[in-house]
Amino acid sequence: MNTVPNFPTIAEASDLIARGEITPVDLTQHCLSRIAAQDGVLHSFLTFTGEQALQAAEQATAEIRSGQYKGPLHGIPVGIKDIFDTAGVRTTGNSRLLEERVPSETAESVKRLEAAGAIVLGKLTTHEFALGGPSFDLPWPPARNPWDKARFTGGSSSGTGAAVAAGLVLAGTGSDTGGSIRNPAAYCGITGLKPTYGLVSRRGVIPLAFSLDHVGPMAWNAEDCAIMLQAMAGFDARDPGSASVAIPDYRQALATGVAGLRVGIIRHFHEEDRAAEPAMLAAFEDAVHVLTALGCKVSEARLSPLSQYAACGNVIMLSEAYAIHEQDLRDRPDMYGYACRARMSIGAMITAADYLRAQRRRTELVAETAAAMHQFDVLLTVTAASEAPEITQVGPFGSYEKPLYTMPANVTGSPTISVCCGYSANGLPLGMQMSGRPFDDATVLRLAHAYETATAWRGKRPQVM
Amino acid sequence: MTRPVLSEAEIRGLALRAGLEPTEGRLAELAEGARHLAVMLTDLDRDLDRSVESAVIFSAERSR
Repeated sequence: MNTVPNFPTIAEASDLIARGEITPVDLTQHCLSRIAAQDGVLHSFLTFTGEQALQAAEQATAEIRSGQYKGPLHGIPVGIKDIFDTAGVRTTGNSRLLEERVPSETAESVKRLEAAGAIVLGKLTTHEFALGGPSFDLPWPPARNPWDKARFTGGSSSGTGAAVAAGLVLAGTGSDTGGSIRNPAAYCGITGLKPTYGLVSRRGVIPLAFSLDHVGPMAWNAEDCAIMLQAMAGFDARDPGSASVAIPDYRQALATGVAGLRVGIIRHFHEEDRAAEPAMLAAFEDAVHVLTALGCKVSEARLSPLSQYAACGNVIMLSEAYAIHEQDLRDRPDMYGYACRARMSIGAMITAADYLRAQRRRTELVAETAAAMHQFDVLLTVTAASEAPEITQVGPFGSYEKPLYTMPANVTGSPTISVCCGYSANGLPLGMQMSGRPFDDATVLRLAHAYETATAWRGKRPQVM
Repeated sequence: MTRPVLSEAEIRGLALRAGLEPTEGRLAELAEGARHLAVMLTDLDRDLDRSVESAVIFSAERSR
């Protein structure tokens, strides 16, 4: 067995595999050892498929040896959020309602990752139905933050955030209806991309809110997100929200510089509308200086208040989620955890008029953002107000008490990435978002990559005890 | 315009209409949710012209 370096990225590991210095079996065994050592504390997996993974890794190793190398995901261990269907493997949404559910078909985005050669190590924990959490009354416990296990991972793609940060997998899938990729990316110090609405198929993914749901990659850095997106993106005639657009070479696009890119700072989101904590604001301003030094043309941008984007998104999300869960909330409410049930039940009190009003407001907000994008290539704001809070301090209605910085991009469908922009005094990661024009995911990845390359933040990893 | 928080009686009525069993615990959950909903709807209304005239313009713009 060859020695695998600690915490390899996909780009690094795939280079080693392509050069024959390590094999997919080496890499998979490396990840399995890390999982065995750490996941008893982190709880990032709720179903583990180690045996199948090793078989797939052996097959990948044989394929590569016989000259059938598929590309940079061939032999790379990944994890799948447990709302993505996996044929023959339990898919539960971390809910008692689906505790024993075994789908017969794999979600399209996962199929595409497997076709590109990725090795699935198992199913990663989630807030119940990607909404309620963190919860201690579900079939599986909440994931713990690898930087400090007393801290919240963010959610709802909590297991993916924890597993990628701890190096248990090299990347994973997430879903994002109000920030569920970007929030755990920020709190766990990784990179998470919510692609443009319709770019990645949602077929086979348990829905939360049809018109806001997105599926995307979570990885250690933007380059790895680009590699994952390359495999996941593309038209799917069986997803009614899927877009038929040309898919560029996302990784190649990273090589283009960012000098001259017009970056708009939406300062009022995190200074006036919902004031972020001083450490977050300082890290954000440092990041703005880095972008300026890289040659970006940085200036202020102004949109409607954050609370209006959040209200619009929340009313739509809760209405659509309630429409999906109405029957079960009526017939077997006790099968839900408290947080998910309490949040979803708000949908019972939203009128059709209010839902339509929110959709109308959404049209205006989309138009407003599109108009701003005539002036800018990318918009910048924070991902979260602070470092990750203590997990016990997060209440069931937390995301409704203060508007989420992440919701605007769900309302508009714009491609948005969260990158680590430093660490708090407690050594916990801080995150900022870069948001682009619809279907210009490549520019967002390019700016994120340039920023990550220009800073030292990607050199620091959590030490899970 | 500030949207009012639904009263206990309104919440009970909505719960019954939705077929949700109006137990004490369930009504308390809904009451907490109603408080957040009132804030959301107030925010939603803030810059939205709710007049019929504006809907006519909106409708015309959408079909353009």
